[in-house]
Amino acid sequence: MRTHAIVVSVIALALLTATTGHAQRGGRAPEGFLREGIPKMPNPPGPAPKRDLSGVWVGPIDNKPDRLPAMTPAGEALFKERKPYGSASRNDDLGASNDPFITCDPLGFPRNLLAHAVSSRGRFIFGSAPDRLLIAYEQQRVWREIWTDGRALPKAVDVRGAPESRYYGHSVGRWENDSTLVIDTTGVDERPWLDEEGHPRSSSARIQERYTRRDQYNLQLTVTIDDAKFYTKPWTWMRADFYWVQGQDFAETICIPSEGIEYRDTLARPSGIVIR
Amino acid sequence: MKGYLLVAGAVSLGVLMTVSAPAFAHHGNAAYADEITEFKKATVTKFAWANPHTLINFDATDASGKLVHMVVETAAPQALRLIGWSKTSVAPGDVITVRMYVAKNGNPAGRLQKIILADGTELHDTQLGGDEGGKTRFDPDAGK
Amino acid sequence: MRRAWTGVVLGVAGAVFLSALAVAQNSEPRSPWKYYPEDARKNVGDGGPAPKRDLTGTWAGESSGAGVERLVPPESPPPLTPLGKQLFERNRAEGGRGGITIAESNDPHVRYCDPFGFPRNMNDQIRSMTITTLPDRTFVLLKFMTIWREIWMDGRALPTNFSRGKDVHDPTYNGYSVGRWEDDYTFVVETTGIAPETWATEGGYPHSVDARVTERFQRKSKNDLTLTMTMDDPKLYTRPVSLGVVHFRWIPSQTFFDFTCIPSSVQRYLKEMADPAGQPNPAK
Repeated sequence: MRTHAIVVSVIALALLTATTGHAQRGGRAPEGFLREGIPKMPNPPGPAPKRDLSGVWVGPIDNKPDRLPAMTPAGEALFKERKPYGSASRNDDLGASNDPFITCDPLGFPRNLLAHAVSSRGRFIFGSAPDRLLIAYEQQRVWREIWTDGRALPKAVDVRGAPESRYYGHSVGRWENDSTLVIDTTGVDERPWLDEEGHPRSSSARIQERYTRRDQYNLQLTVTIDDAKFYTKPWTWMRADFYWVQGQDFAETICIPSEGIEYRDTLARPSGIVIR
Repeated sequence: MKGYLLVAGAVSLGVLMTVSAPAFAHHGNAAYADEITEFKKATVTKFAWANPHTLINFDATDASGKLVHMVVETAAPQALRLIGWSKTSVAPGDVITVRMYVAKNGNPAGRLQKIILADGTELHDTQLGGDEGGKTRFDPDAGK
Repeated sequence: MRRAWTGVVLGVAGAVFLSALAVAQNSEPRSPWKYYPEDARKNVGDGGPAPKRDLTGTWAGESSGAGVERLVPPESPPPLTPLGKQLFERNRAEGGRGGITIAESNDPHVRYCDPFGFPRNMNDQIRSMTITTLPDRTFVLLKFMTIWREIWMDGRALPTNFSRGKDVHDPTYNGYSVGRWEDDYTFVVETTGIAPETWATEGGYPHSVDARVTERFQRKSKNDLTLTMTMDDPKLYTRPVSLGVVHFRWIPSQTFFDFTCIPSSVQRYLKEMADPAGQPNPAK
């Protein structure tokens, strides 16, 4: 059984069974597990270390986002062009989805937080380098750089003299208090979808993550989006928990384009597969 | 002797051109002509700043005065950034001069030598970083 | 003779162009979010002694514009066993064997933007990397394709079973890595369990899942880091094969630009440019 060979088939499977926060995870977790697939730590959590999120975390768990606000006309126009697949599908036609993730295009930020793995959860780890925090994700093995040197976010991207937009954006971070880290991001490339349904996100969107470490094993993450180009007001896109990973380990979860394309061209399309 | 005269001529024209025949057998060179075709007053219709090669689609008139829709490829962004290009260097609607090696098989496509923007700025193709396909061998890191 | 003159022309014109470029850059406001290769080039010298047991930070590698010493490529020809020769012949690297075009290549990276995998991702498009550590691990964060590698330093042994059985480990694109400090300035990493569909090098050297790749990172000074790689794969190679040497320089601003391939862009490029370039004119 090969990790990346499975990934393609379980992308389809995952989207059959789970969308953003609406999935039924089924009854109670078995003894010794916080949730299915998440072992509970044997000892009770100690207090949160100060200004320290280092370690491997798994989530999102119990995501309770706001409903999406109404979109602007520009947002609606872009949204219409997008054809999701899986249970997020909005229409009945048998035409192929144009979700860029089918060909393994980068998920981009913040869609990568939704973690399209079998369990619809992914892991991430915090590290550091001079003037930065670094976040490495299990999902697609990508990493983000969060500048903590007090610099301002770029005022614009993709115009003369300005930095380019990036799939994972430009981010700055600061500690609001000893247990809350705030990260602000802008300049995300407009091509990656915001979510599985294909909602848009502009490169001028301001995306804020607030990580609050409640104790040694429990982390809360709230993500708010302020994107006046495409949405009529800001909203909370994610409100979820993350838990400490026993064994502090990762799997390698990478979408392999040749496998994704082969699946699409040799199986899904010829069969007229509609994944519902 | 001949080689020296050719080089001197190239330098005095202020033109950066390799004087040796393209002896390197990399992708794209075999498919494209060795001589340069110049399109003046080319109107950019699309600019794809992308891997593996950046593409410029443009409309121009060919030698017989016919309107042609061409696409020319150059290096990837990570190579072009190092020699003055950026994502916003070229945009649809820009009117530029394109100097390129056109496809031998008649496809309206080819490999870039350089573009000249309306303000006179020159942006070159490059083989920086082992980008097989560039014919100009323009490489600011050469000799380091 | 001609080659030397061509070099002079290129060098002179290159210098002229670079100074023009510097002028153009100076007229634009500077952004801390952008990489200025001329700043990295101006940072000459060793910058002082190397810190002990510390590789943390962002490094400029091959073809980064930082004036880094050119890499030494993998040894060629590779010392292959008969099975190794068979597998090597199957791989059609772009640019190889008298001019293989993109249309003719079967390099999964060139045709699909599949990740390179290790060890190819340490000497192909290795323009920049960032290294960071946790108490039990070192991370190598590659700029190209924004992919990271994990090197365990907790004394664990490498897995050895990648086929079947209770203790089987799935082969992965980046393999399983363990690392240790050999002395205060030399960090040695061993990796195995790499998925065999990846190419070990840009030129298409094959490898089995049991191949063992050794990396030696040597921090020579504050500003200089050198990586030497060898691969030991007795099924396919008659002896350990050198994968070359890559040089890195410290980037003063610790910033480099993003670069990646987007699979759908690659598909579009192949359809519009590379594959038609290999076709005869349908109109003829």
